[in-house]
Amino acid sequence: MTSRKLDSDSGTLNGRERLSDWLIRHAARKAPADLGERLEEEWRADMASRSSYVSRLRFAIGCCWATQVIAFEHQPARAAATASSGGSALLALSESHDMRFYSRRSSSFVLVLALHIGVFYALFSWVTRVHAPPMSAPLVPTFIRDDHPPEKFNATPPDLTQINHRFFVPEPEWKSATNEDGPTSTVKEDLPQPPIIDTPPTPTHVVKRVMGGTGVGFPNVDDFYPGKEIRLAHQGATVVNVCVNPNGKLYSKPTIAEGSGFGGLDDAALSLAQSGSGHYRATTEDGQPVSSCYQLKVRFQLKN
Amino acid sequence: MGKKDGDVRISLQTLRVLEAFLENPSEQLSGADVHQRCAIASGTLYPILLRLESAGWFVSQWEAIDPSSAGRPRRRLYRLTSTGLKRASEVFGSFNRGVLA
Repeated sequence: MTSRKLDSDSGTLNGRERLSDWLIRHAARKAPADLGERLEEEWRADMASRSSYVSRLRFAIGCCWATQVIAFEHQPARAAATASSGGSALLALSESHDMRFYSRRSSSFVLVLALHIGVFYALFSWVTRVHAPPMSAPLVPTFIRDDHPPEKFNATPPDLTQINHRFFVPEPEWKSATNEDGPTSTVKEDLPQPPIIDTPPTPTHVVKRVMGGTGVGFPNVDDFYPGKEIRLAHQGATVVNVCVNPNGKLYSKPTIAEGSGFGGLDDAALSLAQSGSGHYRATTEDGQPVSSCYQLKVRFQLKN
Repeated sequence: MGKKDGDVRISLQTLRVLEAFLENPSEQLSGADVHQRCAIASGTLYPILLRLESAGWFVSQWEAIDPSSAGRPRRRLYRLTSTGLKRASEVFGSFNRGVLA
């Protein structure tokens, strides 16, 4: 306690010294009660022998750690002392360095290591996020299907014999300039323009297109004639739009293009068109089957 | 380390502390003196001193000075006991190191 009085009397403790002083005081308070006062005075005296502030601070921090160890080792010694009044509590103190202490120290080490890793990871993530180029929006492909059949090309090839080929190559204009004293030289004043050539149009290939229809195995219309419509003697024709791929299968639901006037017959026509998927004859272009949409007329007619 | 020698767990740092005292067994050393000789951090040094004192290898007493006249606080001085000297010599003997007896 003497040293504390000296320090406080001198009044020379600056902020940095106050920290070391506080650490020593804090460490001594955490020490066992019978050792606290002694350790505080001893540590203050030993700390005073150190010259630099950093050394004193390190010493004070070490004392904090020493307090933890001493307090840990002191507890079983006191217990042993109370259990055996004649025995030496100091001897039991030496046995207290068990594995619990090491596991506690290891836990502290792991905790500090984890904190370091966390800080570095956060720092690294922040740096990469700040300096990384902005992400562009992901490209989402969209598929656009052309449901309209290509228009029939009716252009006829031009008659090449009637085309007048005109090749116009203008004559360059040259002007002669005569030098009075020197030899005569020829000066090109205007550059000739490139010749204008009318080239004949290239003949366009005519695609031979054969529209599709019902193919082999297409369902029979009579099988789809509704019994109710037969009993009501309803007859009529329904025009259905169908879109067929090269394999003769529908690639979209058939729709009514022109109704028969009877809902039952129109529904039956749609069912027929749907059931015929896979049995359509695809449209061909130059003999190659292509996808196309065309109209199918379904006629429901009663038989005598 | 971690070798047990009777009452005291002998670690490398404990050996260094004992070695500092064995240089002159009759000399009294404070914690600061031991630190200067062994360069052991305070967090390790003081538990060792207290442990050896508790085991009877050391005795300690306050420095006999007047702090106000000396201008510094009194120190806690440690000294090897006869038991401590004997046991420390045995320890170092087991390590095949020549020590003062």
